[in-house]
Amino acid sequence: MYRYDEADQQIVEERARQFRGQVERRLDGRLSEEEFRPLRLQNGLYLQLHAYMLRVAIPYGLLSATQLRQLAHIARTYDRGYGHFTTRQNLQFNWPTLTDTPAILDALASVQMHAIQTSGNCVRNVTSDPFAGVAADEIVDPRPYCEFLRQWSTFHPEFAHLPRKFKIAVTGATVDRAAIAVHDIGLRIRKDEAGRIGFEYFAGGGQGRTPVLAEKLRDFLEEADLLAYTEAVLRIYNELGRRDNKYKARIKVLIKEMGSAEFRRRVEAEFETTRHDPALRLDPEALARMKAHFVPPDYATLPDGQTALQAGRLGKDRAYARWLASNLAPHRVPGYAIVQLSLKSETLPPGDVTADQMDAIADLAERHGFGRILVTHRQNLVLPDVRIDALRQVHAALEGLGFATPNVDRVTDIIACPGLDYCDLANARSIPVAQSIQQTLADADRVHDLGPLTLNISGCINACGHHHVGNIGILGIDKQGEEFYQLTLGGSARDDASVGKVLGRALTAEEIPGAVERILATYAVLRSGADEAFLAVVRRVGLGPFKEAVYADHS
Amino acid sequence: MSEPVRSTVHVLTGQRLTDGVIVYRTAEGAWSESFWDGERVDAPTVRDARVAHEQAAQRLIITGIYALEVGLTAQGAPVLSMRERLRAEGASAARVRLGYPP
Repeated sequence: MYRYDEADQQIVEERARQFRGQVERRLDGRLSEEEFRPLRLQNGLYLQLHAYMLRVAIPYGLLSATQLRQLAHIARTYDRGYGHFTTRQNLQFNWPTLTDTPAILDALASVQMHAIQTSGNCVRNVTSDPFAGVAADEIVDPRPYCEFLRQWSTFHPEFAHLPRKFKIAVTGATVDRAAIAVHDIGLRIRKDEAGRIGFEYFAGGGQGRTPVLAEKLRDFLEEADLLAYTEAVLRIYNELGRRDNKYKARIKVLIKEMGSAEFRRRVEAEFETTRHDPALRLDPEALARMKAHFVPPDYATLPDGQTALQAGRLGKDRAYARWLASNLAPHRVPGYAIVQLSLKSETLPPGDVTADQMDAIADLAERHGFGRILVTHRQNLVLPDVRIDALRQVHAALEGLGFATPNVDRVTDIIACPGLDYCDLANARSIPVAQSIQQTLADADRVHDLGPLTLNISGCINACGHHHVGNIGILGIDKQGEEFYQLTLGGSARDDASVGKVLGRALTAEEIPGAVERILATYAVLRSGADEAFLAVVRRVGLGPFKEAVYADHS
Repeated sequence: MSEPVRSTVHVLTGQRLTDGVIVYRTAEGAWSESFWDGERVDAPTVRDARVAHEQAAQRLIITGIYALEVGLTAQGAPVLSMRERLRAEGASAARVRLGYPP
């Protein structure tokens, strides 16, 4: 993984030192709250419903064991003993004090981490495929390009005050696991017929109150032009994006209002300038230097292990068999597997991990891999390099930690934003709704039999819980001070990306588990066979049968 | 559903600057972590003047001071929005509800 050089280290240490001074000036009155607020937000510190919240950047979701242990230390020392992994592959501490925050930033800097640009109208943490570097279906490792983008966008003077926040996602695999269609910029790395690397370049996707799928700007942007082209996109957005209305300030609105053809024309014209800037060109030496940070670790030469895997899947240990079927992904190196840790236990809110669990996961990553952990945008964790002959051991350890629930990409693998339990912007709680759905779907065999099915919950229209792109989406709304929930069906964040459609009138929290149950029962009746996924059925039959099932006796 | 609201009053609330803990202004001018200690103000002019005064006076101690609306039933029981109910419940109760120690 990328290691900071001296300049990088100096920047994050200096930033922590600056923030310490800013906090001191706020506390002694030299800074007003209005003056201090943008400064704390630039360092990822929000004031939420009950307390401050610090959002820590995890670039493209990649953590070392050392970094995870430091996050555990911070959780234990300065917070309430846990952290929350988010849909942007970041980690949030929900209970720090203002006075402890400078010490937390120092602790982060000591392991090459920070909270810079995790808030504010700037380029946020670049996200990527959580299987980057190890996926069997990977065409090109996206991490070097993510790191180039991270370095280019960090403290970029021209783009420090964009019209609105800006999110970039990159995938280098045949399957999109990074939700590139719903990002301000989405990149799919490809190779052309000559084997040259380039980018299928999308822009203008997003969720929030106006969900939009990204428009394609380029079929194939040459590798060397990544930063120059992205600079052109950002420059056009920065100059022409609306600043009069925050709800219309994202790039998706600019592209919709201007038209994608005109936006593309302007970007291409700007690119004619930026492409000649040597500072923006990724020359072969720069690419080689960056790629050297991401060379594969020293894998053992092993038999492919497929016989053992097959035996496990057919074995009598049903829990292990289900786990193998749903929580494993194919690794590019024979004899290894990608193991996904489901952070959707029945005891903790989705995405939450305690300090002790973080330490234990760090130990596992070192014992069964090369000390790396990845965060997924579905709020799970990944051990990317587990030997197939060690899977039983790892499964047992994860069972002990509560992270072996065999439900990855199944209906109980619920994305849930923090909602009104934490968030000052939320209209309704998300976590209790997720937990009540999980409790009603406790039958692991049934969850397994229902097949791939995403269920995403947001506590408000800002859509941090990605409800628009859940196969089943749940949106919390406020009706005269009370919580209600709107159901959507048919969303997808994958290659077949789509925005879900509203099913009908909003329901109470108590009605939601029953409604989800009726939707699933309807699907079970309508599916043509075990291979027809929920999304395919919704697309085939439309909302009608599901609407009937949910509302027939309740309207 | 809760009982009908017959009248409304306001309680001044904000968050402690150092740790974000929610507090309510009492009749004695102190700040309490309990909603039930909060002074109920019904005259709009008094409410607005008090908010303005406290925002200035407490600027180094409490942030985000505003007057929260409290509905009152015929029996005088307070009716709060879900957001304000969760705020009034407090951070410790919230953690317990989420499965964590207080």
